[in-house]
Amino acid sequence: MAGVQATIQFRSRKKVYLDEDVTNENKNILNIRKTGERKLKRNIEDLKKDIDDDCTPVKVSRRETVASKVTAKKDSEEENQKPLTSREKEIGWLDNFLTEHLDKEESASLYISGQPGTGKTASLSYILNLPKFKEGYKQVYINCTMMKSAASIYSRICKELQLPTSGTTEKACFNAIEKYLKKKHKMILLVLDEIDQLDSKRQSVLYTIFEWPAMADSRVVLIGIANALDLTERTLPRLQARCSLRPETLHFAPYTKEQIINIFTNVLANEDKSNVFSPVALQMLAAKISAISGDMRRALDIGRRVIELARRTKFSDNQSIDNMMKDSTVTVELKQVLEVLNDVYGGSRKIESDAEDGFPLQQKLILCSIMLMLTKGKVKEILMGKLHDVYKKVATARNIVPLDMCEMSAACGLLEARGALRLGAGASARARRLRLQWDRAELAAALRDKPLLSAILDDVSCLPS
Amino acid sequence: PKKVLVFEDEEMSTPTRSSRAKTNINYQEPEESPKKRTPRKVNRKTSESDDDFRPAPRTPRTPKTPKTPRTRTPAQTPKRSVTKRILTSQLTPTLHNRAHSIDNIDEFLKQNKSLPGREGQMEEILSFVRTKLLDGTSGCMYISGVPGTGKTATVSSALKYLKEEADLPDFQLVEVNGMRIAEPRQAYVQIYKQLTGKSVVWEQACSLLEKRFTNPGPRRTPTVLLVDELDALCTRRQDVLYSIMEWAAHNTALLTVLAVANTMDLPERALAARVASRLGLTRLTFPPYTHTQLQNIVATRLSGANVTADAVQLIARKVAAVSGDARRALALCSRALELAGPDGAGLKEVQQALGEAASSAAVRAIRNCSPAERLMLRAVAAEVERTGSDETTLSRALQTAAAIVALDGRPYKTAPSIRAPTPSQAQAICTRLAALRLLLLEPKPAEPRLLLNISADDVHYATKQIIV
Repeated sequence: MAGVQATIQFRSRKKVYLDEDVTNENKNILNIRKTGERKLKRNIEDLKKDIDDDCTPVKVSRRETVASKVTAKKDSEEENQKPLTSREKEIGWLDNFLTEHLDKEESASLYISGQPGTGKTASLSYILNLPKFKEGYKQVYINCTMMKSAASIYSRICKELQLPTSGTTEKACFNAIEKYLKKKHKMILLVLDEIDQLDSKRQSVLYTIFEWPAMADSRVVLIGIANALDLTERTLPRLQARCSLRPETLHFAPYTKEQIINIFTNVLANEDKSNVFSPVALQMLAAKISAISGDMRRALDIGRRVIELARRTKFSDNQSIDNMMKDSTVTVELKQVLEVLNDVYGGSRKIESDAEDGFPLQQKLILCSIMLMLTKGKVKEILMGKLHDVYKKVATARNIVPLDMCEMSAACGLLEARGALRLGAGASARARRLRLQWDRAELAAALRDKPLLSAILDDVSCLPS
Repeated sequence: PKKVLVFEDEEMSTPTRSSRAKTNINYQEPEESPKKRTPRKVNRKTSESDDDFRPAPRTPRTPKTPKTPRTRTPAQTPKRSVTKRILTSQLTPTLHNRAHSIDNIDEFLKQNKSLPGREGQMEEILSFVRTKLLDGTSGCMYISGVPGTGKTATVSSALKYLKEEADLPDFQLVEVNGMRIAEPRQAYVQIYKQLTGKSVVWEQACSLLEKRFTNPGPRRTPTVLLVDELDALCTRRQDVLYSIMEWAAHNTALLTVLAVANTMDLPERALAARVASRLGLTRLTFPPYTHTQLQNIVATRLSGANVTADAVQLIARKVAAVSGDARRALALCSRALELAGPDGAGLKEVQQALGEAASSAAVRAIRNCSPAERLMLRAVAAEVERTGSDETTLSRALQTAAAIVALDGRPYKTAPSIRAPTPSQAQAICTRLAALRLLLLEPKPAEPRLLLNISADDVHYATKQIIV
């Protein structure tokens, strides 16, 4: 949400506020070191940062304007405690789940699923930051993507728990963990982000990890996060066999339109910038995003770009920073939102503009030949050799020097880079299979406008008999 | 039989000796040379017991024996220190100089002061990086375009320009090219090396970078990371891409990623959903150059050389019609200049250069074939035209060849006594043609199948003039 901070005072900002921020962070770190639980707290610091990255309103506001940065010193504590907008239900459920198991001191496993950008990691790290869980659990947060291989997760867990191991091998680390789990210890909260990356042969690692909560006296609460809705059923079917092993599941649904609007208004209200977006523009943006993906990262990304676009159009005549400092309020109207959305999601318009200019003539001819073969020809499967024959006839009929076979296949490679075609693998260049990726009707409509190209589309004489 | 006996002897001897495990090591010993401990033990064991097999274990030992004098000589210690100093970048390798790194962009910009036709894209990149740096946030941009449309040149000159801009905070520039690293994970090593100057193994580099980008540090300077050839970093797990994008999603990381690739729809096609979501929707496309832009580029680049204006225009139009690749236009120009010699290149030379580049090698290859090979090609082409599929069998092609010979009498003036080849001759001919890739031969035990790898028109065109 860089763009939200339209009021930033560019010149003064650079040194002064960065330093202030830095000292603030330094103080935090110093305080933490005093308390003694250095490792644990540092994990939590990591998690805080993770909130930051997931585009949630909370952290966005913390990094935002000058004014909020100044007040951040006082408010940061309370702000951290504020739950994510529109994820209250899930957070409440998680809170209940963790509290219950903390009170009973029994182990459990939980699997959280949801599309990317629906706030899984963000809500979880909010939960982990609550003081009661901070004290009650020994927390381990691991992002599994950074692992070298599936089995190296053991050594990472050992490192996070600071267990003494007999060696550096995976087996030694694993034994150390098992030994630790059998001993009397504090409740462990093990969070494995992107858990589907631990995929291994016969899923032995995942099974082992999910079996820890079922061990007697293990007192582990395991939380796995991934995108797939049914990862535990599909890749770990044997967990279903025993009730004690079966993980509970929690699904994060994609954000709806109202939720996106809520988040946006929250973010903007934190900045005192609620008037940046006109309500219609916000409605439009939220409706489009929720209809396509419900991904909050994308929504915030587009929101930022819209504001940038608005700022650029406003100051396009005079880009001096002084001018921007004087009057830096921008308002986003429906027009700009539509412009950005069309730029991002406008499929057909893109094809049309592509076909119009920046498209080499020979590539247009190739596309036309493909369309001719698909619409008028008998064969539905296009091979490069057949295409070349048709294309040669088409080109010579129009007094254009046709390309050689190898040059044509290079041109098809360029079309593939544009996303218009997909080339299949073949032993020889002539036997390669082509598939049109663009929508046929849209492409035909785009090509029909040009007299030369539309003539080709109806030219049946070029087809092989 | 003697050898068998020897092996049996050996097998007999193993159980009698101390234990099985050691003898097993004995056999594997030559393979396990990298490990230091086991070979030593094994060597001792073998020297004690086996008399017959001394030569066998000795062979791996022979390269080791010179080690002892080596340790005595002082030569080894400097060697170690040299590698160490290179790893910690106290010594810089002087032999290799990367031609296209951003440090050398000076020379590049000297050669071409501006990038004509790329003003809009330049402005877009500049404003993107500028806002990121000024706001102190992170972000990611995906830049795509077909090869030779000036992506890397634009990005690096934009970054160069930003480096000199006074109003901006200072930033570190890191450049990774996916094709210049042996393996995607080496990207961590490259990034870490360019940030700190030290070479470490990738696991360590990954964890250090993770620490650097996910924890807020004092006096952290912003980083701009240029990832060229992004598609080369795509693996099945996509962990490298994920971690780079994940860092770029942290606002505290102050990391701006500019990802460059050819394919326009790479995020949708090849990247996993979670990586694509982190990559964001900030995209920038470089369209192919139009002929006026190409003309501009060639004119600015060849300001000194004397190429006539219409020659340049011809090249620009030809290239713009096919690919819009500036590299190709420049290569054609330089070829035309080579052909022309001292006095400047005109239309004629340009035509020649274009002809060389576009000439059909297949036709020339057919013309240079022997009469029998041409006959065989004609037969396959006729068969292809008759049946409509590109595929025939050798026996059918032979029949057609016989028919052609019978029909035409003497098909070739140069070879009046030609006859239809015998099957074995035909097979040899087809193998030769397959080596030229004019035909594709699928050798099957019963019936070899022939695929014509050139168009039938080419065959007619190339063989036409020779027919009486």
